[in-house]
Amino acid sequence: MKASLFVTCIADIMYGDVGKSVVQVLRRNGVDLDFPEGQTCCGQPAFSSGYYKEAAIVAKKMIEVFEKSEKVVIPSGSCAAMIHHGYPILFANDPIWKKRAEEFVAKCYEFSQFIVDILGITDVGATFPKKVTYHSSCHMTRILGVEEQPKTLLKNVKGIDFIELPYFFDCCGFGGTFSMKMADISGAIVEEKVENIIGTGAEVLVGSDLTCLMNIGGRLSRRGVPVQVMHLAQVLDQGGGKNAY
Amino acid sequence: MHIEPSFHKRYHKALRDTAMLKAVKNGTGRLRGQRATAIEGVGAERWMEFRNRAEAIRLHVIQHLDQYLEQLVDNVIKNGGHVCLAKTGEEAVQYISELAKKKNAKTILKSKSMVSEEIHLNPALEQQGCNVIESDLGEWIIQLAGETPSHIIAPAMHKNRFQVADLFNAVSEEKVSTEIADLCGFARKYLREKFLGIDIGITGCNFALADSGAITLCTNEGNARIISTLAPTLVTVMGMERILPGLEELTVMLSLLARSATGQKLTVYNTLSTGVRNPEELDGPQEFHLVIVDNGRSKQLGTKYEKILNCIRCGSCLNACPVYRNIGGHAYGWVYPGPIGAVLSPLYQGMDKYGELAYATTLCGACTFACPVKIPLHDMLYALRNDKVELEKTGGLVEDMTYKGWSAAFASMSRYRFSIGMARRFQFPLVKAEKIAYGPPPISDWLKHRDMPALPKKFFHEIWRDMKKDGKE
Amino acid sequence: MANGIVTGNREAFFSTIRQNIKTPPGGKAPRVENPMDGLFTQRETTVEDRRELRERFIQEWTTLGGKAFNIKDRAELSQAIKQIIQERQLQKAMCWDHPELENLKLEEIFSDTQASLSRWPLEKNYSDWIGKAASMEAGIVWSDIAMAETGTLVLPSSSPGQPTTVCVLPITLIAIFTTAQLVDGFTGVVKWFKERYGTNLPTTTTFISGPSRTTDIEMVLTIGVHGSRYVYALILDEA
Ligand code: SF4
Repeated sequence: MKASLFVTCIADIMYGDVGKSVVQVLRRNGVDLDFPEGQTCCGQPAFSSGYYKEAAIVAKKMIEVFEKSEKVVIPSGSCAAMIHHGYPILFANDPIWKKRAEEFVAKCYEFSQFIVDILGITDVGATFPKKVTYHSSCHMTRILGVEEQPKTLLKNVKGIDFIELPYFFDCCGFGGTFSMKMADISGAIVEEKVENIIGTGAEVLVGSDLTCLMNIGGRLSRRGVPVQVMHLAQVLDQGGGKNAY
Repeated sequence: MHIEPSFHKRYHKALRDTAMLKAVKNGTGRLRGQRATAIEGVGAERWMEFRNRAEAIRLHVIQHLDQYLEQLVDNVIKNGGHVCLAKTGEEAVQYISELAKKKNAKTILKSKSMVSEEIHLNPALEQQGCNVIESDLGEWIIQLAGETPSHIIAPAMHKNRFQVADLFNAVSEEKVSTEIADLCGFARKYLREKFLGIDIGITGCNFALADSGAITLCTNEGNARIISTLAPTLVTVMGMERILPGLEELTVMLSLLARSATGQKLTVYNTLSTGVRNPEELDGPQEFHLVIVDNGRSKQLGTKYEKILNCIRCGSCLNACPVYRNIGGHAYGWVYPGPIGAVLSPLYQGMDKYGELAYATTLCGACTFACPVKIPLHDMLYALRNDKVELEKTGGLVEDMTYKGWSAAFASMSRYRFSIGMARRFQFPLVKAEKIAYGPPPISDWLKHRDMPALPKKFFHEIWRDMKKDGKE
Repeated sequence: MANGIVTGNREAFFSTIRQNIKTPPGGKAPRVENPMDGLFTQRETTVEDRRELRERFIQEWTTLGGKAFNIKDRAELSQAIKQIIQERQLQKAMCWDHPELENLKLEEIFSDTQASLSRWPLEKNYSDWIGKAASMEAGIVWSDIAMAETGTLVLPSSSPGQPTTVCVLPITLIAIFTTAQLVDGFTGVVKWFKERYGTNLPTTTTFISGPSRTTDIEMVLTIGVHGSRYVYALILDEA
């Protein structure tokens, strides 16, 4: 199957390794993946701050970049949710772009959603003998409606000891600019999340949204808690036989 | 009570109040746990059906608000009650104050009414010498403390038993212990005496029924029905949107309200009252006044915020909200806290005063999912932010610059790659052990509670290039 | 009864509303037909079904903190009432003037106990009856209809002999009804209301589900704040 990778700005800038794992996992599972030049960001930062015009400028660019793609895979729940939920709002009053946006939306999938729902794979053949817990990010579960897919993939990893995170559905407190604008409230929220993670006794925290992971990981690191933070793709990339490239 | 005008200062004060935060976390935790159990009992699918039905009912009512209100008014006066149509809070307060004067009322008992908080009814009545007593236990506690409610359905959630005992002992002749049962026992005894000497009773209104002119009062304690039974003059203050076509719709709403609010199947007492008693009846009010309050509500009709009028004040969105759970209700500044407050306050009271509340959210969407009538609360928070940018032509100086610059850079790959390349190049003075160690705001804000990794040696697009170059592509 | 008066500018109040309401592109939302459909169960019940409903009611009612008695005959009724009088150390009780209660001849049962039973009205003037009513330790009512799924009594004040006061003031509430009064949930109640009242509802109707409760202090459940602390349901077998 042919698909394009929309790696997202956060993965491009901060977490190149995650992008690499995404590529490897998808290729190993038979995806003919390309990486269209010109891609930057889905527009979420501006949209969330109320700058719809600015968000639309960047959104149009992304629609153009992926015009030729058959399917688009996005290793970030909130970016996929932004496209699905935010683009129709951005172009509500622009019939031409609204149509183009709808076409784009229809082919965008979050990483785990793509594997489970489109490829029909629930076991990617990875091995990861560790105690793992999973944080469900808000936009991915609530707005995009992708909840079980990542957990299904995780639970099928060989050797994994999966522990449900208490209040896995609670927000980690990131909220984009909220984490800086109202840093102290955000800090209190992420502290709750970290306490819940510690309570599970897990060695690894897995998530599907890099901004959440940066937030939670940043707090774990500040407190010196030795819990490793990984994107789902990185776990699925473990022990999966030889590299596909 | 003086309210600090800056949200920033208000929430910082809240963050320092550890006793309050502990109480709020405990309270919201229990409420949402109970709600989850109740939904499990109904079954997820049927619960969704309940919510869909409720949303459709509310949507229809709000889009036909004029018809249903007219019908209600006609039925209330036919039943012998009086109606005051108050455009503003002041008009409502004036009407009730004059009534109290006319009745020469000394003792006024109230059951919980958020609208009466909204229009500042109590101070006005007290000023003319009335003894106004809140009869809901939580409301009474905060009245004694001189505070405002911090939660829609549990107004004194932020207080613990020791604080309550102090407040009760200040009005009690005998010493009241800090045992919760004793505290409740004291409230029963003390307030019962007041009930028996009631001149005017004031209640809120959970739902008015257009087709019969009845009002519905829901309480677990049973205080509202003591008032509606014993008060010779009964005043019900209702927000103009709190109306339903009839009994059938009511049953859906009551089932949702109780489960969403506290996880009960039904509130202990649901009382339907048509107002004035029949000539042969001995109890019930001799005079009934329904005060229908607009106070900013009609402004929302026909706008993208119209659905906010669907709200049935269950408080479920508060319990679901991570921000509310970590700062409590008072920080929101106006009567309605939590997500519903973050939307209502700027809409009813103005962006200039409460616009900041649109940013007091992580936009996690938990509120929208908790809402029994499916109000898209978090979408409205986005929209409020957008309104601020579009209508006020600015979302703040720094933000304006940031996003103008951002869209210019991120709309072009070369400019984007150039900017992030520059950032990586010049981050070195800030980096220590692969972490960002310092930085100007907003980086410093982030660093207050969390670490931030330094930009790595390679961006993904560079890794991709290498993957290709290695011939493994 | 004379019509009430409307204060405020009715014309202006409603014209603002009418002006602001917009018809969305797809038209306004229609009225939901049969809003209760599928949400509540309602079977056409037989005596047997209703005996099952009794079990459900008792289960819900006791979970809420009430006590229930399953009563076969007059001897059991008398025994139950005497037990309550004992338990609550009752001296004074009042009851509705309701034909069904009258049939039960409660006065007879009370007569060989230490408690007295007064039937409504206690007195004619407010200043006379209010003090008496407030001193009553128990109120006895007939539940015209009761919902099993939620453990709910439905008490309309459908005649002057059945005032809300009797179930509002005393700390102990005793509700009597037969299995014939039981329905699953709201569907049965609404049907009953429609047949009996149409849209002309009685002055007050109360739905009571268990004893008065509050969690206003530290979220700790406490029973009996303003309303009844002790609630009894006496369910007679209709046969
Ligand atoms: S907005 Fe929804 S959840 Fe919040 S109080 Fe209103 S009805 Fe309840």
